[in-house]
Amino acid sequence: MTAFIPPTYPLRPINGGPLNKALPKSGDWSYEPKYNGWRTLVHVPTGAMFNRKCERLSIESEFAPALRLLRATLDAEAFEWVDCEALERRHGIGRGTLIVLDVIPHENKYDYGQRRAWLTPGILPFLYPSCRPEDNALFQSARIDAKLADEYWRLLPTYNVHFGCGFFEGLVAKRTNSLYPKQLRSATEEYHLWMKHRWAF
Amino acid sequence: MRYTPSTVVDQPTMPAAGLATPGAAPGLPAAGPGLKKVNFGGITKKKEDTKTAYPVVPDPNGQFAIIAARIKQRVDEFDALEAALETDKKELRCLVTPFYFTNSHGKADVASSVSVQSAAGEVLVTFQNRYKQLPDERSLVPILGEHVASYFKQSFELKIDGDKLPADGADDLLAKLQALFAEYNAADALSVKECVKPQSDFHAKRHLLLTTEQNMAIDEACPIVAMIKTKGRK
Repeated sequence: MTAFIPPTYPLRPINGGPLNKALPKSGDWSYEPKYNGWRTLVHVPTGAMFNRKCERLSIESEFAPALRLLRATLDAEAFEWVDCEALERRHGIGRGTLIVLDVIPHENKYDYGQRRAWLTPGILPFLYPSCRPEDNALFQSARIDAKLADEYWRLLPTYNVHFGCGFFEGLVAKRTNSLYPKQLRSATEEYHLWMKHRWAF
Repeated sequence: MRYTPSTVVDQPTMPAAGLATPGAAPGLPAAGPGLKKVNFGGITKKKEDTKTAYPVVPDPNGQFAIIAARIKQRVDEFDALEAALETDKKELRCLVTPFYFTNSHGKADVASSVSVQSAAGEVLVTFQNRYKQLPDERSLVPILGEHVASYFKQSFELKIDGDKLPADGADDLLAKLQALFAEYNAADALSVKECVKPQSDFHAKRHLLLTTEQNMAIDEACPIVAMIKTKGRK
């Protein structure tokens, strides 16, 4: 059997430093919580998982229930690859759970707003920051309006306190017109239309 | 029901009012299937602090602390400024690239930079004869077809410079090298780093021989290294 790999490394945001020190961004941006997990690309037709270096994830079997949900939920022809955060081992919350961050379309012409709009929240629920995810579940990342980013920047650490761990690491800003350019040149190449803002732990 | 790209719905973003506190969650929509509200009784025990403790330098006047605090603050400010600058540079590069290829098309002598005029002065976007390496040629084949080898070549490094080996004898030489290492049970000591990169004359001939559309498509697969220059420009 021929080994297959994802069509791209997962997009890697630029480090924007703490949000409260960040300079104004141009254009329209949307925010998501930055979850403390393992970045993974999932091949929907097979359920194969790959890490940020496009290597097969060694702990894939620990996500079997979430993968079954994912494969039953997404149309593998339309969404062959999805970009997820896998929750496992780093803290005790949501073990075996997958959070869908994005989908990787075949054609690089759909922007972030369009891609996220494909994921109907009625079927694939948002993981709201105040909710502690259960184990072996499937969610999509919460979306935070840019107007509320500062508020969530202050609020999320209080959830970490209540959760008893660093479940949230900060926020990731994504420009709403950002595409998902595919590249297998380098796992460390950064994408300038995504920016992460982290608290210093 | 399964998702398809045509399944587009209005998607709510986080509500503007009633930001939730854990356990209360006022203003947030009801949790969907699989969600569990925060239960204070089930707070995960906080992990022991595993940070290594180092000896603390005496600082009787607090002078070191003032400098340390300043460094911490400026690192944050520096990260923010660097990210904003990097975003603007990359965006400007993306925006001017179509002009660069259009303007250069059909020319043998191509300007290395394009000038962007602003009220604050001129900024140059300089397109260098440097390219990012590719893992393989797969992304180029749809653009260049059978001509890929005219523009790109395989490169490799075995702790020897593969570019400097004679093309004719390279295969034979490498086979012998591997056999030699295997003879001494040292095959694992050999590692190879392979990539695909442009031929040495690619930068010059791409503008003459390829269309603007081809150059744009190649630039997505194998970006030209561009610099943003502001120094010495008014």
